[in-house]
Amino acid sequence: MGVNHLILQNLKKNMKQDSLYVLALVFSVMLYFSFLTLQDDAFVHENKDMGFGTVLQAGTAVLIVIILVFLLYANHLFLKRRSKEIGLLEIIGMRKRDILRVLSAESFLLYAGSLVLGMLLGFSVSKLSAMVLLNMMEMDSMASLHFSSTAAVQSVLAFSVMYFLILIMNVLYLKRQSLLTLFHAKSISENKAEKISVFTAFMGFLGIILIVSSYGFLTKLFSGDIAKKQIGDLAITTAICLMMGTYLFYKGSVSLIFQLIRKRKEGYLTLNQVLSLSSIMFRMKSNALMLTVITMVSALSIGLSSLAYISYYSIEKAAKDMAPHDFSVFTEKDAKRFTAALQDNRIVYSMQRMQVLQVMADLSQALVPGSYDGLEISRDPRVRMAVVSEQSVQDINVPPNEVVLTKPADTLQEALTFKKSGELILLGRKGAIRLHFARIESKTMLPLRLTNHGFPVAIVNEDQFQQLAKQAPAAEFNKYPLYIGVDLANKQDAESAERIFRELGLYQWDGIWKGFESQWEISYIKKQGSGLLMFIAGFLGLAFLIASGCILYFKQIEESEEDKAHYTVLRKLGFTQEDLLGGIRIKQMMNFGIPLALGLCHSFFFVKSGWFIFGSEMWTPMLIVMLLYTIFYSVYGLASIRHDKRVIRDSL
Amino acid sequence: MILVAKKIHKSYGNKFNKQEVLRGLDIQIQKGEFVAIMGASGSGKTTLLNVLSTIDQASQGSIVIDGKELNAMSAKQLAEFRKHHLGFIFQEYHLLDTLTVKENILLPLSIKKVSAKEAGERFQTVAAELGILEVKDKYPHELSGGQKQRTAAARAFIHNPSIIFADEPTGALDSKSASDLLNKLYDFYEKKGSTILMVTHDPLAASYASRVIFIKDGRMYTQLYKGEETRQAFFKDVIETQGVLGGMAYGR
Repeated sequence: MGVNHLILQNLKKNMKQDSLYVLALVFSVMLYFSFLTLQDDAFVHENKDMGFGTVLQAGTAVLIVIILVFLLYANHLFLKRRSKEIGLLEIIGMRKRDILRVLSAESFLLYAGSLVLGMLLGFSVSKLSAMVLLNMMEMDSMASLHFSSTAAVQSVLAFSVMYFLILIMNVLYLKRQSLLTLFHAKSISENKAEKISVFTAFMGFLGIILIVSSYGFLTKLFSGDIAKKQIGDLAITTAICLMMGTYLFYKGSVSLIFQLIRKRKEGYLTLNQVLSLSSIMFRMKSNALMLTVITMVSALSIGLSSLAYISYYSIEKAAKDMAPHDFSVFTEKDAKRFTAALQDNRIVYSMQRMQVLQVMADLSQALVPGSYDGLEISRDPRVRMAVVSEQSVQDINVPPNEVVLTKPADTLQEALTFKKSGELILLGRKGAIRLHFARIESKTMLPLRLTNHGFPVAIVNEDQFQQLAKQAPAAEFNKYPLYIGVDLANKQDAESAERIFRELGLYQWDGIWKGFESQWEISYIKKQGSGLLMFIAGFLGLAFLIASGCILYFKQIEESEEDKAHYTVLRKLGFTQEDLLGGIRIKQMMNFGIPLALGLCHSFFFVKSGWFIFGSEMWTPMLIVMLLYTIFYSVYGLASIRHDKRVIRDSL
Repeated sequence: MILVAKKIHKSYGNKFNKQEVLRGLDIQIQKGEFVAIMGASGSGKTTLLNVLSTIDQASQGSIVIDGKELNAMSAKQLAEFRKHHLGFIFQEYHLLDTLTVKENILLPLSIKKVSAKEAGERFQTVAAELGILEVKDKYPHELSGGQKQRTAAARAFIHNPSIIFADEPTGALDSKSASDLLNKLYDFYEKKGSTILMVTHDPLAASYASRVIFIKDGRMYTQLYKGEETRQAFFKDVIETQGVLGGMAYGR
């Protein structure tokens, strides 16, 4: 039997044993390659101005880091697992150099094979993913991908670098190991079990406090209580607190909580507790760093995916907030041209006219004091506001000297709070008019750009409106005194109506707004931006999920090999396989559940702190993302249980 | 009669390459007996213990413990049976290293639906008898070999099993700890009437038993009864018999 034979035999054995590792490797190549192919695609080149390339490049960089960490860690676990075999080779007289050659050749075959397979798969998948991307962005151009040689070269290069890093790791590992340690690498659990010291208890306590307080910081972060300048500092503090808290949670809190449960049982544990509590409390402690990284990155990727989905999910509503009518123009002439064209195309519509005055208003009596510290308004309470007459609005009558306000835009609402009732002072050229308000109407009447980016619209008495109109400010200030909103009766007509709108030259946007609005166009543009964002967040989230799930799974395999002796004892004592499996289910539920639950919890507070910047609906999109993540994770949990089942079966 | 085994055969491998370890052994053990099984390495004594203690299954023959025929039971029923009727002490202690001494000892009670109060009392008694009360909150790796084996013994005795199987219980202990443990086992046998079946290759350990069975090549070779003899005298008998056995083995 020569060395080559040995290599092939080992490879065959490993393929069977670690099919998941091979799968993960192939999958990494696939993701990376398809990402690169997408980047190299002509369609991306054409749309350079949209920042496609940069975003995809950043995504690739994150992806490669995830893959690298994953592969290094996986290799570490496999070296440890094979330490006995390596020791045996050394005992029969192989030199370390020869062993290294065997290992390198093995990983070379593994990497080369995965690379080819992954690229082939990646090519077929990239077309699919390009279509998903285009679909998300509602773009019609067909994805026509060719096999990108740039992507291929770059993939080969990247994975060669990784291969060399792994070689270096192997060299370092072998150099450090003596024959004795190689044979005993597995029995480290012996000295894991020890009493909970006061120090551990303290760390555990501190961990929980840190986590809870960073949740508190997160809630405060964008609540408006914090001055803008301090937000950055607080965010960094929060991140550090959360990270340390998570680490200490695994290092101490889990042990502490489990120990308290154990103590209460006074030594009288059920089998389920034996299998779950006792092994987890020591293991989590020694894996604290890895679990912290997994939890934090999970939280980040769930959080970012949620935010991306929130913004995508809220597009329709956001577009409505930006432009309440399907189309809007500001002169009777344009309105006539547009409606005539609509009629020619048999498109049914309704129309609404509104006189709009732009007036400076003093908000000092209208806002809840202290709710806007740090904003510009706290220095100068005068802002521009849109004023309309009660006659332009259905179902609303406003007596003289009173005013009805509409709800401010969501983003603004987070920054400042209006009183339930108060005084609004409109500053006409001939003096101020004090108006009393006791009502905030939750409706959007004018496009965002006419309401000074989201300030309320003031609905006033007709007489007072006329009075104000007479002393109206300069034309430059009040550029669009008439607002005409056109609503389609049938949403299916949106696309053709939009085409007409464009053809009439009503939509001209060269960086300067011309006063026309199309809700349809707004949501289209937004979909392109957040569609791409969501695609990349989803892509990276998936890559990370696979990597971290695999790492947890490998860890579980390793642990169940270590625990095999325990299973043997327990079965000899008369516990059935079913008894053991019951305990193992609980154990795996905690092993995967605790990092997942903590990650979900982190991301929940993360999302909750700033979701309103991204969209208008938090719960549905966030829960969908979380649910998907949980389902993916449980697959790994189930795979671990399946493996444990086999180990238990073979243990006697 | 607590254990009756008739014509036990055990072989490994397939029909072309068969390794017969036990070749028609008969054993009977009465309630309250302390029986040692001796034999050279490879004589089949550990296989015999495994087969008798339901951990392994005999290829042929019948084993009845406490009036129950083992061959008629499914693997699951056997596990149940072990749980309730048998106690084990192994050479390598086989303690769970993530549990404290007390937790290890109480493990067999958790399945028997014994109340926490009663479990605590039983623990007190057994642990006091075996002298491990003061280490009850320690983890196995903090214990000496002797303490570990006494913990394992406590675990075997705590649920009052019908019979205790001990596989080379002193094999990994120094002589002082070994005789400590054997004295404790002897106490359980003499004062409480426990039934113990112990496999050993150490004549000194065997001399604590009330009867020693010698097996050779999968068959019973001979057996010695202690009767009214002192332990020292019995020890000499055991050594002599072992000498004869060994002599035969080398064909001298």
